[in-house]
Parts: sequence; structure tokens; C-alpha cells
Amino acid sequence: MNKFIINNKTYNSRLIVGTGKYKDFKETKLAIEASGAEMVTVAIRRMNLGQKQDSPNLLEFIDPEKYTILPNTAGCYTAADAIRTCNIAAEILNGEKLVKLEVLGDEKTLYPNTVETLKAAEILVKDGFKVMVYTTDDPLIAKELESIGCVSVMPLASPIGSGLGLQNKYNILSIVENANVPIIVDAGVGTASDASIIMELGCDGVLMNTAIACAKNPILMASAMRKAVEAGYEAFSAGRIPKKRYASASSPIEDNICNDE
Amino acid sequence: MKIIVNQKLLVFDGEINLEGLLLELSVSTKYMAIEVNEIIIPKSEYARYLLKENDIVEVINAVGGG
Repeated sequence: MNKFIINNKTYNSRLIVGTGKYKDFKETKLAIEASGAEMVTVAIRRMNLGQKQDSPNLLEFIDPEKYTILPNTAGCYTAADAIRTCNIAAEILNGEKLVKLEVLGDEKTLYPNTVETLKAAEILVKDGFKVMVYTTDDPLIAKELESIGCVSVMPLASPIGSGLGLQNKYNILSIVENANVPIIVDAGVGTASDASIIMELGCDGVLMNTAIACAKNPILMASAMRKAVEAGYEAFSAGRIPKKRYASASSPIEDNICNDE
Repeated sequence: MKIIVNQKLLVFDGEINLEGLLLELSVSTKYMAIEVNEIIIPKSEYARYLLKENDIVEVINAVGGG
């Protein structure tokens, strides 16, 4: 089986998880541990400068020494905003330049704005960022983002937080077949089988947040997702049987005592 | 002196640098960033970076996200 390498680092887990929408930091930490993920996404926002200044920082719970922190540009609708956010993220993370670029089109669908995404990717790559890029499931755009120099291309399964699962498996298959960088399906997973289906196509990994954080039991779902990603990847590596319309007996046809001819 | 910090108006008697501002706000410099008028100020410059009247300061950190 192939190694899962992002930005020259090898990961044992092919599951990348988000840290949003959890009840509290404790639940976030427990869910990440149960997921087995080694890379976690975070958002970049104004610090809450309220009364309680001793309130904990997310990165005190999710130790950057232990996990690869992948800052995102969620909420950015232009290339300029996404680039500004990436520069701030690098300052927060002491110069680390691995980022998840996402430039969104509109609030209702949170669909990627590929025009702005391409512009931002080009500038960020030139500025030395290692860009993992959220995009549509368009094979041509995916290839273009790879050509620009993104370290991973991350097409959606379906809209962010929708839980609709993989909606266009043949596009994802085309993207995977043409890729020379890891393809990580990002967004849209609802339950464990969605993650398995994605991995069975030959994708290199899956990124999810809502499916775990908003499950009734996030920690149990995190564990399910860990197994689903592993199972899907092992099944892909093992090579599935071809589909046939009619049956093929699993037990010997010959020497059946009930059917002597 | 008036400055805007994270969209709130703060008033200080006399000069204040970024290090002083963070002390005033009880903010640790670990895993955070500051922009003044949309320009990132490196942590090494906080002690000598004097704020000016009407500066817009953003104190930014990582939060939960997907």
C-alpha cells in the first residue's frame, strides 16, 4: 500500500478532522483522539477579548507538537482575504506555511469559487505556502490546481456540512486517475459508509468535521470514521471483484449429495 | 490616545506599544498574531512598536473550524 505523504511528512491516518462545532474543547480533544487523525484543521478568527482572559486557547488542547495544524481560510470570499488569512495563520503558527485554502462562492451553498481559488493558489504557492486546496469536483480545475503547485487537491463530496455523501463519484474517479498529488475528499460526508465509498475509489484521504462533531455521540462517530477510512482504503488496495449481473456459487458445484446426476 | 482593538474602542493615557497593550489585555503571545491597520507585526517587534491615534488593531488566534 502507498504511503500517505503531505508536504514531505508521512501520516499513518488518512483521516483529517476539523475542530469546529464541538460542545467544548474537551469533547474536541476526545473526538480527535478517537478518530486517530494526525492532522487537524482550525479557523483563524479575532481573539475573544472579553472578561475571561484565562479562557483556554484551542491550541492548548490540540497540541501543535503532537498534531499537524492545518489552518483554513473558511469564511473568505476573495483571493485577497484568503491570502491575508494565510499570512496571519503562518504568524500564529510560528512560520508554518501549510494551509487549507478555501475561497467560497456564496453563503447558501458554501460552494468553492474556483476563479478566486486559482488566483489565491497561484500567489500563495509563489509566497512559499504549502497549499492544500478545497475545490469543486471538476477534474480540469483539480488538474490546474495541481499544476500551480498545490501539495494536495481536495474536491468536495457534496456541500460543506450537508451530510449528503459522495454525489459525483465518476468526477472524483477522474480526478484521482489524473492526479500526481494526494486527492483528499473534503466536505459532505454524513456517515461512515460515505467515507468508505470515497476511499474505495482510490482517494488518498478524507477530511471531515460536521459528520463527527454534530453526531449524537461525536466520540463514537469519530471512532467509526477511523475504521471506515481504514476499511475503505484497505478494500481499495486489496482490489474489489468485478460486478456481475448473475450469481457465482461460493460452494463447490461438484459432489453435492443432494444433487447427483 | 484612542485605538480600536478587535472592533472595540480603547482609550489610553499616553503612549503604548504592542507589548503594553497585550499586558493590559492579559493576552499571551503564544499562538496568536497581531495586525495593525491590516499589516502583520512580527512578535519580535511588539516591544518597540508604538501605537498611534486611531490605529486599528486585530488580535487573532486559532479557533475551532473545519
